Amino acid sequence: MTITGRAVLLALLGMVPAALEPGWPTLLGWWALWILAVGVDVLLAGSPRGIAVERAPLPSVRLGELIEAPYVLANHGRRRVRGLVRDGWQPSAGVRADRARIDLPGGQRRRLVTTLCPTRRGDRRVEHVTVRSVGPLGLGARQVSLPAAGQLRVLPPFTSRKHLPSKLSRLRELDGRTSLRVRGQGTEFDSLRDYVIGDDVRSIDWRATARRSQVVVRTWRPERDRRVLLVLDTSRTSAARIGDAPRLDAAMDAALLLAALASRAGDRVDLLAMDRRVRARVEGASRTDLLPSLVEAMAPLEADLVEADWTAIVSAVRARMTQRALVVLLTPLEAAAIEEGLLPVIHRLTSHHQVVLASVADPAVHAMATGRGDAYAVYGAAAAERAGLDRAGITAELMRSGVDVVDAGPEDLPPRLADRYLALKAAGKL
Amino acid sequence: MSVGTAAGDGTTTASRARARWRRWKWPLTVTAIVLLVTVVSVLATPGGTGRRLDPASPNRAGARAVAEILREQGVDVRRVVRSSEASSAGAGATLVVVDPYLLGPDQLNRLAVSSADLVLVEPGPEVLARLAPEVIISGQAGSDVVEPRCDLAAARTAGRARVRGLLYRFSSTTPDSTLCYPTGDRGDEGSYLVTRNAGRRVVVLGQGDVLTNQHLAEDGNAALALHTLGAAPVLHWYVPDPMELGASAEPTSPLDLLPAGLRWAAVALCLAVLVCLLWRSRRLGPLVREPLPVVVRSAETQQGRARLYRRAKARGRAAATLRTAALRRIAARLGLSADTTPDQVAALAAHAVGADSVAVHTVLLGPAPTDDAALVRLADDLDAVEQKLTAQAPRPAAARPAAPSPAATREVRP
Repeated sequence: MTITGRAVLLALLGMVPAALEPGWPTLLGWWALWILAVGVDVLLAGSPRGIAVERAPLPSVRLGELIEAPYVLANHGRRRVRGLVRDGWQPSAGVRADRARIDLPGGQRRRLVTTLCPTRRGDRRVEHVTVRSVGPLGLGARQVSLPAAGQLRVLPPFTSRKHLPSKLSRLRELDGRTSLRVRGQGTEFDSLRDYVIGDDVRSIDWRATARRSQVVVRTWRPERDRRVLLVLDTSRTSAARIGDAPRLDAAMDAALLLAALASRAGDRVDLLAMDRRVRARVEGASRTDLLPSLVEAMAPLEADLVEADWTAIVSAVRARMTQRALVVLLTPLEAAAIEEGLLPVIHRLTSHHQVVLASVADPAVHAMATGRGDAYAVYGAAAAERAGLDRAGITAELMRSGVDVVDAGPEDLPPRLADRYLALKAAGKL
Repeated sequence: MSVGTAAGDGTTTASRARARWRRWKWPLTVTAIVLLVTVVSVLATPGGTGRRLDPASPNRAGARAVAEILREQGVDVRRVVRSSEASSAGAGATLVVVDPYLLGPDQLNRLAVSSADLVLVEPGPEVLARLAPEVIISGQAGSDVVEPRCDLAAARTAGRARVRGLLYRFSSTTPDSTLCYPTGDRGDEGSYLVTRNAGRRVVVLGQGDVLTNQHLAEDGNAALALHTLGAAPVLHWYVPDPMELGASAEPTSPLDLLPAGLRWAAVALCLAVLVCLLWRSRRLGPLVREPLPVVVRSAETQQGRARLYRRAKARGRAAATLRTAALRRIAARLGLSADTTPDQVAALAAHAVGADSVAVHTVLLGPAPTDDAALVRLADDLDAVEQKLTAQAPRPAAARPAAPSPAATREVRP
C-alpha cells in the first residue's frame, strides 16, 4: 500500500485544529481520523492483483528509431481500478513516458502504449508493469508489480547506409567493362560487342571477328558467386570505446556496408562473430534476407573481456570456407594482440584465401599525436606516435604475410573497406 | 491471447506473507538481537550514576552497602535527586545530603523549610550558613582512624572510626551541640558534629568515607554510619542532580513564549512532513536492471603511456619517437624507399625545403633534449620542417591520417 499527495494535504490540514484547540486530544484525534480515512480508502481501492497484463511480441527496431510498445491491461476483478500504471522498461530502452493514468472498470480491457526510443543496441528488456490502484477518496492506494516480461531487439543502426548508392554505382561501372587484363584470373566472359576506338586491341576476339565483317571485342564482367566471409572479432580489444560507441559497433557498420555491397555484386556473404567461441553465425542467407539476418545476428553481440583465440578463429574459417574466398577480419590493430595471436597463424588463411583486415582507428589518438604547446601535450603526442609506429610496424608485417590492411576511423572505415572490396573485384582478385 | 493469461502477479496471500517473512527475517533478527543485547547490558550494568556516595552505586566510592544494610534493618531508604522531592521529607525522617556543593540557593531554601533531620556530608560554607549557622568550616586534614572522645551514643558504640577530612568547629556552643572525634591543638575542631537548628537534628559529617562501600567494613565505620543514618524509620538519600542547578533559573526558552496553538501546529506540521516523506519515498515499482557495457576509452593506453613518459622524464624516448614518426612522414612525402637511412632522409629534406642541412639534421637527428622546454621546442621544430616540406612540395600520395609505413607508401605509389 501507499499514500497519495491528497493524504499529505489532509495531514497538513491537521495544523488548523491543532492551532485552534491545542493539546494532545486534538492531535491524536486528527491522526486517528487520518489513519482511518487512509485505511478505509486503501480497503476500498480495487485490487490491482485482479489485473492481467498481455504483451504481444515486438518487431525489431533500428537504433535511434522510435517504436510503440503496446500492452493490454485486463481487469478480471469486480471492482474498478483507477490510478497509475508504469511500464518497467530498462533505462536504455529510452522510454518517453513510462507512466499512464488508467480507469478500468471490472471485466474490461484497455490497450496502453509506451513509446520507446532505444539508446543502446541489443535486447532491451521489460520486466513488469506496476499498477497503483487509488481508492475512491484518493487518499490511499494499493500497488503491485505484475510480471510482464517482454523484449525489444534493437538492431545496429547501419549509419553507413548512406554510402551504399555511390558504391553501388561504382560497382555497376565495373560491370560490362572491357577488361584490360584478358588473361587475368577471376574475370568472367560477358559478351561480344563491336570494337570502338579506344578499346584495347588485345581484347579483340579474332574468331568472332572472322565470322563477321566488323571487329569484335570481348567484354568481361566481375566474377559472381564469390564467397565473402566477415569475421567479427568480439574479444576485449573490440570493447574499447571510440567516442560514444564501442569499436565493435563501428566494425559492425563496416561489415553491414560491405555485406550489402557484396550481395548486390552477386557474392555470397557469411558472417562469423567469434572471440574464444563462436558468438554469432550467418551462413547461406539468400540475397534478400542477408541484411536482416545479419543485423539480427549482430544485435545482441557485446564484446567480451577475453583474449581472442586466433587459432580457433582460423580453424573455424578454414572449416567453413573450402573454396577460395575473401575473408574480412574486423579486428582492431592492437600491436600486442595481433602479434601474439593473429600473426603466427595468418599464413593458414592467406595460403587459401584473400584476407583483408579492417581496423577501427581512434581519432582521439590522432588528435593526441598533434598535441603541442606544453610538455604534457608533447609527451601525449610522443605516446600517440609510438602507438602509430607500432601500428605501422604491425601493418607492414601483415602486408608481408599477404594481408590487406584497412585502418580508419569509425566514420571512414565502412566506405574505405567497400572501396577496398571494389578494388579487389576490379582487379579480379576474388 | 487473454485466455491463458493469469491475472495478478501469481502470488497468493500466503506466498506474499512468506516472501515478506523471507525479506524481513534478517533485518528483524538483527534488530531483535541488538535490542536484546541492549536490554541485557542495561539490566546487567549496576544502576546509579557511579557517583561517590550514591546509594545505588556498587563502586568502591558508592554507598550501596550501607543503604542495603539499612533496608534490611527496616529503614525505608529512598534515593532522591530533585530538591522538591528531598524537601518533601517530613518530621520523623532523615535526610542525608551528599555533594551539597551542588545545591544552589533555591535548593538550600527548600531544604531549610523541610522538617526532617539532616545529615550533611562534607558541606561547604554556603550550605553551613543556611542549614547549620553555628558550625563553621575550620580546615582540612588527612583522613585518619581516631577515638571518638565524646558522649554521643553513636560515636561511643562505633569506637574508632575513619574520620577527619574536612574539619569544622562551633562558632557558638549551645547545649545541644556535640563535637566528636576532635582534633587540633585545642580539641575544638572535628569532623563529626551534631547540633540542632530550627527544631531538628543536624549532623555534619566531614568525612564521607565512612559511608562508602570501600571503607564500611573497617573499624567502627559501619556502626557510625548505621547509627547516623538509621535513627529514623525513613531515610531520604538526596543525591543532587547537577542539571537542576542550571534549570533552576527562570525558564526563558523562546519556544515557551510562543502561543500553544502555534506549537501544536508545528508538531502537526512535522508529522505532515513525515507523511510527505512516506509519500515521496514509495517508488512506482521496483528498479529494472540495466546490464551496462564496459567503458574502456580506446585512447586510455596512450594516455597512460604519456603519463609514464612524463613521470619518468623520458625525454629521450619521447623525442626519438617524435623524430622517427616525422622521418617516416617526410620519407613518405619525398617518396623514398624504406631502406633510405635517416641521414639521407634528413639531407634530402633539407635539400627539398632549401634550408640549412645542418639545422635540419640537428632537428631530425640531433641530441636528445635535456629538459621539457627543449622537448616542446623540438616538437615545434619538427612541425616547422614538415610544414615547409608540405608548402614546397604538395603531397604526392593519397592522404593518410595515421603515420604511414613505408610499406603503405609503396602500396599507394605504383
